[in-house]
Amino acid sequence: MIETALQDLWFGFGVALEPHNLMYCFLGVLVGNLVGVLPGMGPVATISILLPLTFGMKPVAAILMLAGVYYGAQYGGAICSILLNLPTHPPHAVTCLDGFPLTKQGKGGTALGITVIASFMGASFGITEMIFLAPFLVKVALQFGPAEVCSLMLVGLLAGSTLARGSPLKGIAMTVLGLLIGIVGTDIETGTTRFTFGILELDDGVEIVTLALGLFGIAEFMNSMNQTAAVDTKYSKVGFRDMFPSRADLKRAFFPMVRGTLLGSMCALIPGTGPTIASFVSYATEKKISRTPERFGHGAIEGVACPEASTHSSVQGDFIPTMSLGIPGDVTMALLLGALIIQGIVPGPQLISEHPDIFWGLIASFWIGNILLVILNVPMIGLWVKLLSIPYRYLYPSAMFFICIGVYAANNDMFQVGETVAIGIFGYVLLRLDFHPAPILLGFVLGPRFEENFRRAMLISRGDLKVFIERPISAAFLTLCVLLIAGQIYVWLRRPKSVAGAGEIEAKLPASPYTELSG
Amino acid sequence: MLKRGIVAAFVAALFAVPCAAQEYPARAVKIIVPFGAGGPADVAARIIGNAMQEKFGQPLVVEDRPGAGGLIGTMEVVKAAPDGYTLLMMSNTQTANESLVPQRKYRLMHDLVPIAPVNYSDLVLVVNPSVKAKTLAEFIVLAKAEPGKLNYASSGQGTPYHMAGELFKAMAGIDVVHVPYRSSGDARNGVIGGQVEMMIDAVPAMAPNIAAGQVRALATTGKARSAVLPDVPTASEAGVPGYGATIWLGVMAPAGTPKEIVDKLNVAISEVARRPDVVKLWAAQGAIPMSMTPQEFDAYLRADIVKWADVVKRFSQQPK
Repeated sequence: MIETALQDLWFGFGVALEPHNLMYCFLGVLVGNLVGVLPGMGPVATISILLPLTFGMKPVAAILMLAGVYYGAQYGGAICSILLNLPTHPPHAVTCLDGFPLTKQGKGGTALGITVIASFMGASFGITEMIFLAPFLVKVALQFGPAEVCSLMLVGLLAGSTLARGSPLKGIAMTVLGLLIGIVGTDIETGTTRFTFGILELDDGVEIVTLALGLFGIAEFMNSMNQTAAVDTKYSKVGFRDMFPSRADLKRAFFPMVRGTLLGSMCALIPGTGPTIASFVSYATEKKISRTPERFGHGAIEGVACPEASTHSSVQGDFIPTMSLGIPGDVTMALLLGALIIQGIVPGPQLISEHPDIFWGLIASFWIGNILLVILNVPMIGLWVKLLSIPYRYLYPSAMFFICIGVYAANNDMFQVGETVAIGIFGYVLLRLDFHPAPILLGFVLGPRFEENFRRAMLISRGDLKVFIERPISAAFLTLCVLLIAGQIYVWLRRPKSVAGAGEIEAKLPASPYTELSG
Repeated sequence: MLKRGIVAAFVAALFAVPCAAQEYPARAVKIIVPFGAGGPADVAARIIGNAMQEKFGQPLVVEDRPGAGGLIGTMEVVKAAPDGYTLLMMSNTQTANESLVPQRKYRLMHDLVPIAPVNYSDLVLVVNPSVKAKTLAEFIVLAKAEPGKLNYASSGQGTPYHMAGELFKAMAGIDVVHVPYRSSGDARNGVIGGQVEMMIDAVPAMAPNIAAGQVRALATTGKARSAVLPDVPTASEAGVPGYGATIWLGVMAPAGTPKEIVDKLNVAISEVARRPDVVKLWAAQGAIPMSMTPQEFDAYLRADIVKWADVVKRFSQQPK
């Protein structure tokens, strides 16, 4: 099986390296990269706009270009997260948490360098996985019923409790707030609308792009407005040397990259979990298993490497169920399939056998595209960091402007622009009250999926709760939850008793005349 | 001098009125698809749009405005000017919404005028291979023997797959439990993975999986057998006479659009939908072109609204 896969891959490279196809691949990744840097307008909007252009194109070139937009956008997304604390797309929201502190320490270039490396590693793994393991993984993925996904979401919510900075109580409050915001919209099970207050535009809920940009973009900007010296302009003078991460950084970031990659590829296969969930869960997991969790949130390089690796591997892995089963994992995949259908090609299990040039050409183009992106991005790091030298009074309003345009361009909907601004103002209030918004996004993303799958599992099992324990994969996840909670309790019980002990020791000392003097 | 100018302008204006219909379309026409990009309605709109662009020389721009189960896009066309430059690509979702969403702010036949149908696609009833029924009749017997035990998937409350399922339940007299999913992709995963036993799904989406043996097709839902699945009997043949559920697409315009423009568009769309290269694209998707006059389409819509109203009434009365 491996030999035939390699042979097919060689054939795929032959297809992808044809000048015509190569040109379109390059165009796709270039556009994708640029779009990734712009807030709001993501791969979905871009692919919708490019879709009509694919009419006159040959199917291979068309799909190469559109796919390039998708994974190219992921490369651009981290840039503003790290340098400006503005995530242009939801999967990169977590990267802000450690990326921006790194910029403030003058290591913005290093962070970007690590991002590119992590991205390439994550993507490569996703591609390799796709080539060799696709049929096997698809079989595993089909074993994931609602009970399994529900338990997985529970693990994610528990692990994600580490995302909270500061008071744990505030962290819980924010997560619950995220859950509540996630409930807004139409209930899948019954079709009734919840929390929409009769507003038609809220029937489909709050969009994640709106929430992420509002909370992390607008709110943070408004918060920084009073702090004129937030980023020292000396950090913008980045020498070529500074762009490359130091050996120590690389060593520290290596294993988080690996873990992030594995987690991301797992999330790609499970229906309903995408790059956003992958990045959040991998960051939370990394923080939980780290020996120095207090460094996270203050510029830990692992906190940048692992979510980026996870996002990229999840994006590449997303293609697996789409190409093998013909079932799109999310909206972007549905668009890509639509592009194929317009060309008269019906995706499905037989795509590999009937149109090997499309399938293997696409996979080969992933490699080529990712290499092109690395070549594009590495020299550009210095250029992006120069962005910081633009005075705040021009930079921030421009960014806000781009946010509004981006949100509008994504869905042609002014209501969402208003929504973003409203959420931004609300987020600003939260920040002033010392609540940090990261857990909101976690609750928003994981909560509704947890509820949906819980109710579906209950529906199918006709109300039998034992289904969560009877199904092996679900039981495994639940055990993980129990271990997480138990581990947390253990750590808490074993915390050093020095504070409590000192008082006892003092009380036992015989009273001495000197203690009265020193009082 | 002035008087002559006024007379000249008046005479010119007299000519301008009938000429307006001749010159239509004088600029780009917008067709709004109230569903997500990449879906069947979107793909069909783009195919038609491309073909009509060649015919008229003016672009037909497709704009996706998904949301609220098709309501947002539909509302936008309802509110648009009735000059023929804003059209709606609609489907049986809109006719079903007439009964599903009583709080909507428009009435389909009152606020919109039918132009032409585009195509229709059959659905196919598939079961997971673990289900022991090999024909539709066996399945019905199985379901009747264990009421309330089997499940069927759909892509959500009120979607065409759900409605088709409920109609089937009513006409076959069986009791299977509806399990809604977030999207048709998730629903398909559910059937293939075996969590749910049955689904009534679009033919092109399921055909590859049927061929690969991941699901078993028991019946298609059209009047005649599907060209994509010629070995699968229709539901009518296989045990539920009179059953018919298709997903069809059509074009409508805001009420008040001039009759000449409606007729012109009707002729153009019917012609384009039956062009050989377009028919070939439709066939790959399992879609068959439909062509009717605006009056026939109007009658078809009204009948469809009544049909789904009955189904909605039936399942709304079921105990939850």
